[in-house]
Amino acid sequence: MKNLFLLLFSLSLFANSEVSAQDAGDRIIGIWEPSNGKARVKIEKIGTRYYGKIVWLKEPNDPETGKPKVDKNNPDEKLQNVPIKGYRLLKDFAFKSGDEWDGGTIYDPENGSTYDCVITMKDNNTLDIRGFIGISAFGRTDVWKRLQTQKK
Amino acid sequence: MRQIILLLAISAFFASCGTDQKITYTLKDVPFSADGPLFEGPNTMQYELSQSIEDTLKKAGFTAEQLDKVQLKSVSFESLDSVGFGAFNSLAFQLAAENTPMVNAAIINPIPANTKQIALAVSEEAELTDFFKQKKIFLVTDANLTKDQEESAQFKANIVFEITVSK
Repeated sequence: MKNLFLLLFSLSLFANSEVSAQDAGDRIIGIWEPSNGKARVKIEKIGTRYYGKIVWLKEPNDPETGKPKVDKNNPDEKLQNVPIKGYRLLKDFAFKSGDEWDGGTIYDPENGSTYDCVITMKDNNTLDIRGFIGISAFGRTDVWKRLQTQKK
Repeated sequence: MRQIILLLAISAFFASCGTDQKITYTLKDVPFSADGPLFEGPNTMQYELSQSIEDTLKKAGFTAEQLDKVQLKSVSFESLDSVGFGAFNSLAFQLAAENTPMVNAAIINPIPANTKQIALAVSEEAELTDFFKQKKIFLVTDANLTKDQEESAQFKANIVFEITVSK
């Protein structure tokens, strides 16, 4: 009887830790603004991964064409007509632990390049977005701010 | 409900090229919806596909180990709302899964005015094989609204994949 109780207690602890890990990962969900203020990115969850799409652009139109910006630098010709507004530039992030989401990529529509990326939450309203090629040490970090401010 | 809506059609055709064989895998009437109010800009809708490719291959007389390549052949959407796609100016179709990087697979931009059915331009380079080795695939649609709207949006999609299996 005692063993059964211990087993049930252990299982409930395990289930709770699973749920809290999920909740901790979901802290990243929301609308964020990169440091240059040119765009706003909505991070959302699909399955167990996190993805970020552009939902607002300071300059939505291409100055050359006067039309809404499209992903003209995409290496795949068929996808060069994908609108930048709505583009998923953060893809496939998994919540690691603590304040880090990794395993994802960030796409730079200005040159059509995709970089490995790690996201660190400095506080509830600040993200360090580090893009890199190969090794995280060789990369660049941008600071993103949450648009709808939450309590620290 | 899913079983009712999701109709799986398998048609194997024996236009064999060398030792490979192609199977057409069709998902019919896949539902996508977003509850209103909806906001101007991209609105995400997703559908979780948990159908095992093994079953599909088995019905066609193959095993999962024979799966060689999966390509998207066509995607079309139909709006179930009376206004059609009038409020949307573009629509993108993507695939996501737990252990496979998300792929942009098809796009329509702009959406022609006064239309209820649209066919997307399909990427020929999108590599989809790894998705079909996963237990769950998320079919993700981003529909760009031109302005805020109170109403929900409801679409259904027909999606055709071409599966290449080695004999």
